[in-house]
Amino acid sequence: MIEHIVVIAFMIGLFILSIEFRNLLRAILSFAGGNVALSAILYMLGAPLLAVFQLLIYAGAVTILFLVTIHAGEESEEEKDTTSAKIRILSIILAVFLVAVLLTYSPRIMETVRAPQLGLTSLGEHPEFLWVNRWLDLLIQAFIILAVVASISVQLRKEEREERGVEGE
Amino acid sequence: MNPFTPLFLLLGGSLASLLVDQLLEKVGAVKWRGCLAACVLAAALLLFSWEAYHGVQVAEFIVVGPKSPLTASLRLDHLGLYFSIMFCGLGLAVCVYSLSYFKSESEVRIIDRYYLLLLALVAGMVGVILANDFFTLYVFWELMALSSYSLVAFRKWSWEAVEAGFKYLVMSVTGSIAILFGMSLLYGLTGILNLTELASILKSAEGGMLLHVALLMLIVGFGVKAAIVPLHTWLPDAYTAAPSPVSAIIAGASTGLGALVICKLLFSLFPHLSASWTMFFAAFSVLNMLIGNITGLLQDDVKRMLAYSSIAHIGYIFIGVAAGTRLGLTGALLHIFNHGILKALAFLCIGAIIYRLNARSLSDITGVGRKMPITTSAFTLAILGLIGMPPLNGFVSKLILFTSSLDAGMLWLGILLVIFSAISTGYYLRILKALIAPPDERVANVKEAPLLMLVPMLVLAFLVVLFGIWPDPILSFIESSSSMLCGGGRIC
Amino acid sequence: MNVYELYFGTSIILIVLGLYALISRRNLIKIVLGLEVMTLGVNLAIITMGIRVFKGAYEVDALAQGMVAISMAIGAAVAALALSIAMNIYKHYGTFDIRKLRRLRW
Repeated sequence: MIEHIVVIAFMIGLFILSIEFRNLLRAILSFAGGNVALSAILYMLGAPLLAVFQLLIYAGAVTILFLVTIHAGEESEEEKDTTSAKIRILSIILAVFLVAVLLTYSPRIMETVRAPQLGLTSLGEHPEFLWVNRWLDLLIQAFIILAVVASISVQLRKEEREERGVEGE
Repeated sequence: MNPFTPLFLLLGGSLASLLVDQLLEKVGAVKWRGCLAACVLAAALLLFSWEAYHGVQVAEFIVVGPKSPLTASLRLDHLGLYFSIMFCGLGLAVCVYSLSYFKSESEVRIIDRYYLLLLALVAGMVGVILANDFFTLYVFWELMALSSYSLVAFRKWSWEAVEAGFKYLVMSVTGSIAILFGMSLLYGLTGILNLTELASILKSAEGGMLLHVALLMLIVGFGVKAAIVPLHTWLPDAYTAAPSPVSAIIAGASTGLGALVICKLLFSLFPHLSASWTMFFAAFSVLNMLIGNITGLLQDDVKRMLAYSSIAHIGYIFIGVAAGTRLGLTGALLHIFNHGILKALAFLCIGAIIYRLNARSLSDITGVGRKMPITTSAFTLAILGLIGMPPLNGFVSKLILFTSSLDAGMLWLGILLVIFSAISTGYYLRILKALIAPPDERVANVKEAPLLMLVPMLVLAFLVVLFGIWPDPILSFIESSSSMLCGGGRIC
Repeated sequence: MNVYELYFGTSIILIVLGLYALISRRNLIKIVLGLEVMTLGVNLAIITMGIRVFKGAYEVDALAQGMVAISMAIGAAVAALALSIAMNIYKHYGTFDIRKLRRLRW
């Protein structure tokens, strides 16, 4: 149990840093570090396949996406200037309060969880589980990727000159 | 009929439409782009209507693969069939309308991707309502949502569209996170995700606090899309800034889909908690009606006015949910359908006016009615239907909602419905007054809208009148869906 | 405190952290970072619900693993789309700051 708590503390610390850092590059690097910690957690919890996915997708592709977007902005990588102190303190208080409330109620929420009605399946015993049972989700996932590719190409299309269409300003 | 057939037709058609349109662009026949998309939508509509005409055999759930509760499955019942017809029909109207709406160079260049996104949007909506498995519902919901983000931010040179698109994306993704969280709680309780199995298990489960938290998360998650009041702030900006055919389908179908999924989940999964959620929805319907109508009175931009009126109509729909009875559910489902048609018609008409005039505020469109008579008559029918005038379909559903609130002992909700409908005439009739005023020189050489834009408007206007004076087939379909959701009268 | 409560609490902390970033940050990139952190939190919640002890070690149910695999892909797709809109905003305004974009009325 103690190793779980240590890695969880690392992960939460890295994510808090990634939000608080003003230099965007450092923020994204600590986000990547938090994802590596989350991948370690997934491995410890007995989902090694998901740990690999986490590293590939989040600590890999999403981090690279963020880095590309930052470097599209040619200004210096600082977040321009801070939020006013009042709003920050107010939102920190709100967040801490929300976490405290939810954590005190979470044992009551969780006490009914450990009685599943149906026998759960194990990926070790049925390795092709996803393909046989959940192929519809995977197919729609492929179409989601197609739609997102089309959306991004719509968003990033080149404009030769300033177009003024029907409802432009 | 296997529900996989039209679903795969829509999905495959979106990919095929992209490829065919790129081919047509290479060949040089650019006028024909988008016709394959319209044909695919028409074919899906025909398949669904054929099934409806022959009577629906409701199977438990339909899978391709091992028939266990762990499998992703679809379910073809009255509710799914009925609303799939509506989504395919609205999609077809918007697709035909878009064939001649986009004329600027920058948009026409990427019109092939527009049709891909439009077909993916309709496929996502049809999948949500046909899904029998919670995670399948979530994946189709994401398909619908992700297609709509870029459609709203389509005019990337306009600051309004891009900012509205980003705000819409952030709020909608937060909603999706809430949906996943609620779904994970239900999964933790029961270990399965199949909706029919969940419905039978949850009836006897000792959920306690977990069920309440899951219900709250699901309502918040789907409520972002369905414009429940504190979560509605993305709506006016997104509807205004999107191109008009996109506004039409999002306002008519996507917002209604959010309310529809809430109805379906509440009545089939959480009927024993109905004491809590009826009061909740009564409060939120009042807030929706209040904010929608009062803010609508202050607007000058016609599309923004229509957006606030959508918020108000969601309030009317939730009166039916708050009643908690079978009649209330019937009224709510019927109003989702009628409001979808009316709002889509209204947005298509204002789109035609914008197409000819490049303006959309009340002062700018004064007098255009004399020059575009067909558009104005269709717009008048839409507005009268939204107010709830008798021979049109809005009246039928509002009457059922009022009766259901009486029936459930919430007469104050029914009275508020009537009062707020009367208040809403304040801004609806202002639009009409601006349209039929005598024309000034700004609108001197405005012609009627092109034929491809007129045909969908006329078909929708015909449906508005038809379902007003002859609501029986639609009403019987809705009644069978609501009685099935209510478990054959055992629950509500 | 057993493993379920520990990880459920962690996922709640991550979700609220993401929400805090969404509300209080001005830079568009930080807002998208907040969205991603929320997605990670809810993925952890799904995994928590599927943990069980199997032959002495932890194992996560196959259905939960499938859900999280697909949800991760959807989260990455959403991040890509959000970042492309953010790049678009940068190209037209020259800034990533949302306060400078506040031109829409309520």
